Amino acid sequence: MTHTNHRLGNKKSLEEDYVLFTMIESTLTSEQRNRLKPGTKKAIEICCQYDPVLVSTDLQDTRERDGIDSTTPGRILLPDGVRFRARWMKYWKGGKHTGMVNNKEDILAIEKPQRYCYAIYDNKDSMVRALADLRKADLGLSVIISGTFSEVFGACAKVGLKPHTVNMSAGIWGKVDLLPERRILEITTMCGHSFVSRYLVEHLIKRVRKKEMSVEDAAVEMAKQCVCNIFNPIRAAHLIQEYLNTTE
Amino acid sequence: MQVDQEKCLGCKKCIPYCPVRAISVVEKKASIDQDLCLECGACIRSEVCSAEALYIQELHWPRTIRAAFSGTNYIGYDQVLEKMSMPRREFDVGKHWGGGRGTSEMKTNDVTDNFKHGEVGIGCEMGRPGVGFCFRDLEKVTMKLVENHVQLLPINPVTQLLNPKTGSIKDEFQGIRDERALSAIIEFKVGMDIAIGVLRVLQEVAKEIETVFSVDIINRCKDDKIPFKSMLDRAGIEVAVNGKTCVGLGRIPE
Repeated sequence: MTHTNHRLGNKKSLEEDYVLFTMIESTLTSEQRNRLKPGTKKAIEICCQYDPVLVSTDLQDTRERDGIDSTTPGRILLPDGVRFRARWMKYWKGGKHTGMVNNKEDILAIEKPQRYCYAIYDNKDSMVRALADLRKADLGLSVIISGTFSEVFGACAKVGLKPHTVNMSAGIWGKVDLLPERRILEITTMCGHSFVSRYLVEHLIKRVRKKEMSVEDAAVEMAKQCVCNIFNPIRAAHLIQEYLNTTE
Repeated sequence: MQVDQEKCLGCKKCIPYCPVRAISVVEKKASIDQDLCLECGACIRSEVCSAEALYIQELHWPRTIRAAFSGTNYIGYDQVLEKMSMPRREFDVGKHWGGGRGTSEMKTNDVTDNFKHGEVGIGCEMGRPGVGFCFRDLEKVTMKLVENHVQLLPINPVTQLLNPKTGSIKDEFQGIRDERALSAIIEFKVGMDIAIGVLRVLQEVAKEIETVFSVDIINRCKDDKIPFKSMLDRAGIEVAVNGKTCVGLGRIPE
C-alpha cells in the first residue's frame, strides 16, 4: 500500500516531514518473520531516541489472525480492532482513545512489537541520525523513508547507504474539480486512506478560529483518525496556522 | 454503517468525520445515506459518539465489496473470498490477496525483488484522495490498460475481480459494477521502454471517468539515480519532489 506517497505541499513544508518506517515482508514464512521481529523492538528504541513527532507499532502480526472471528461484520474495523496497534504522538495530552498511549515510554515498553515501526520526524537531522543507527544495527528489516528525494538521498549518502527503490507520485489525474482546495488537501493527504475527512479539517479549522480549541488539539484530532499512524500533527498544526493567517 | 435511532442524541458531532458526507441529521437524529456510505468505518473509529449509536450492520454481497476496499481490515473479505471459492488460508498467507487495497508495492523490494532494474511499477489509486470511486470507472481504466497489452499484478485484490483477457469485471462479480469504495489500487509493471506510452493511455482514460486517481511510479535506483526520472522529464510528466525510498537494508533471514 502506498499510503505515504502522495503528501502534497511545498518543498519547504515537506522538508519538515519525514516518515521512517521499518517493515517485515508479509510473504516471508512465519519462521522467517519471527526471526526478524526482535528487530522491530530495537528499531523502536532507535527511533525513539531522536525526538519523533509520532511513534507507533503493531501488536499483532496481520498474517496470524486465524484466531479472530472475522465472520462477524465489523469485528476488526470497530474501534476494538484498532487495539492491534499502539501509538504515541506529540501534542496528545492523554486521555482515552483506542490505540493511543500517553507516553513514548509505553511504546518502548511493548514486549513483542510485530512487523512495523513507524516514526515521524519534523527535521532532517533526526531522520538521518535514526537512519544511521538503523544501518549500524543491521536488523534485516526493510527501511523506507518518505520525504523529499533530495533530502532522503542525501541522508542515504551521509550514512553510507544507496537508495534501492523509489515510489514517485505523478499527482492526481481525472476529475480534479471534485477535490477540495489545495490547502485542505495538503492536510488530508497526510492520511493515505483518506480517513482524515476534508469536512473534519474544515470543521476543526472553524473551531480553532472561534477559539473553541487550540491549533494543536485540532491537529491531534485529525491525526487520531489516521489508522496507519502516518499523519504528522506538527506539520498539520503549521498548515492550520498558515490557513488561519491567510483567510478570514 | 447505521445509526441506532433510539440511542442517537442528535448532537451532529459525527457529521464531519465522514470522508464522503454521508451523514446528515433528519428530524433531530443522525441518518446515513446508504448510497453515499462507503462502509469505511471512519465515523465509528473516531469514537466521537458518546451514545455509541453508530454501528456496522450485517453486510451482504455486493455491498460487502465497499467495506473490503474502503476499510483497512478484513471486514467483507470473507464474503469476497467465498465468491472466489478461495480457501481462507490462501488469503492469510497473502498468496492471492494480501489484505488491504493493494500489495506491499516497493516497500520491501530489497527482500522481494519484485521490481527489477529496467522495470517501472505503476499504480492507479482509484478514488484517492478522499473522493471515492465506482467500480464501473475502475473497469474503464483496467479495460483500457489490458487493451494496451498491460498485465495487471496477480497478487492484488483488484486483479482478482477482473477477467485477465479483457480487464472487465468477471461474470461472478457483475454485481459490484455500481458499487462504490473509498479507494482501490490497480497495479502493474512494464518495461521502461514502454512505460511512457502506458502513462499516456492513463492520461487519456482519465478524461473518461467520473472520479480521480493518484498515480504511483516505482523505479529501481541505479548509482544513486532514478533512471526513469529523466524519461518522465523528457515526456513532460511531472512527479512530486517527495515520495518513498526503500533504502535497501532488508534481507531474508538465513
